[in-house]
Amino acid sequence: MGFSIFFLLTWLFCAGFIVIKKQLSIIENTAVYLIILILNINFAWIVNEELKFVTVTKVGIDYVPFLLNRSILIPLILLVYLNLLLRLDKSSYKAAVLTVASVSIMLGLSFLTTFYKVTEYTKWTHGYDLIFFLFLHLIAFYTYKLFRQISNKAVHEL
Amino acid sequence: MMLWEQFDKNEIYILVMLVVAYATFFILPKKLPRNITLLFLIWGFASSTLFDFTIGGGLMDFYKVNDSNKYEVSDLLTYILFATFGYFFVYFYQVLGINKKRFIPYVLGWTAIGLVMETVSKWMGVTHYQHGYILPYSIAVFLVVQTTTGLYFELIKKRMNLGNTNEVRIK
Repeated sequence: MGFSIFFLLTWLFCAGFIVIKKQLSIIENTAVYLIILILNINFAWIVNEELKFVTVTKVGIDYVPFLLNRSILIPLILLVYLNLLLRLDKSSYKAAVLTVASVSIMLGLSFLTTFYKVTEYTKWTHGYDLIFFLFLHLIAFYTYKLFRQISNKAVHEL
Repeated sequence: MMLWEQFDKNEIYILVMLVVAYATFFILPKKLPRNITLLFLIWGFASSTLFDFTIGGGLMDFYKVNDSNKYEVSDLLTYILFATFGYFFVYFYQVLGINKKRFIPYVLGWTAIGLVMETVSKWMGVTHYQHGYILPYSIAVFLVVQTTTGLYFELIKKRMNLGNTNEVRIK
């Protein structure tokens, strides 16, 4: 069941990302995706395999949701978040609501992985997840800022 | 994370390769805008990370990188080395003016280079296959990574109106 739910969610976020009006360029979107992918993979490895704070299932079909969540869903949610965030006028209230919604979705996915026995938290809590997800939001935003700056410079150099 | 289990030939090989690869990166005349250069360095790093932590670790665990299955600093240096290969792939794609006709030989050429490099890495103790994995399986990995890189670069070129030389016009 976990496989089907996570596959459906992955498809939904892929489709959602395709249809929304992008505020970031293709280079900015890709850069944010890849940076988040690198951080998330390394973080998951250190927490799960090095520190053994989380146990990941050894059952093949249940392992797929772990991979989908780690490598596709989390980076994609951040891309959708950033593209929606940059559409907002300068309202910090709406930005805060959007950030809470995005972090809540990520936390919801963490709950689902434990619910479907994809992961088992031994020395880890969803509170730590919350801190990490907030950190990922910051990194995503500043990666976008950095690439916007570099792209603008590249245009001026031409 | 530890530095390395023991400092021997695999660490020396990685350090030498890092110096050679980054020296080449800085010496080669720049043909691509800075944002594309940085993007494909990240692309190379991300591709190697994704495959190493998906088929080279976790449930499949088909190979270990360097001295142990633990995360070492030398593993990180390996990914930093791979970053330059993402860049070199698109750099020579641009310099050699790869088009539809040359796409297949170009990807096959890079796959052959990849296999040679992986054989050397095996000799130098950087990669150790396990659980039935053999070198020819890497052909699938190289073909997937290089084809997606080439196709993605074509998309970027179209969006940025990037010609086959260093003539760049951003729409």
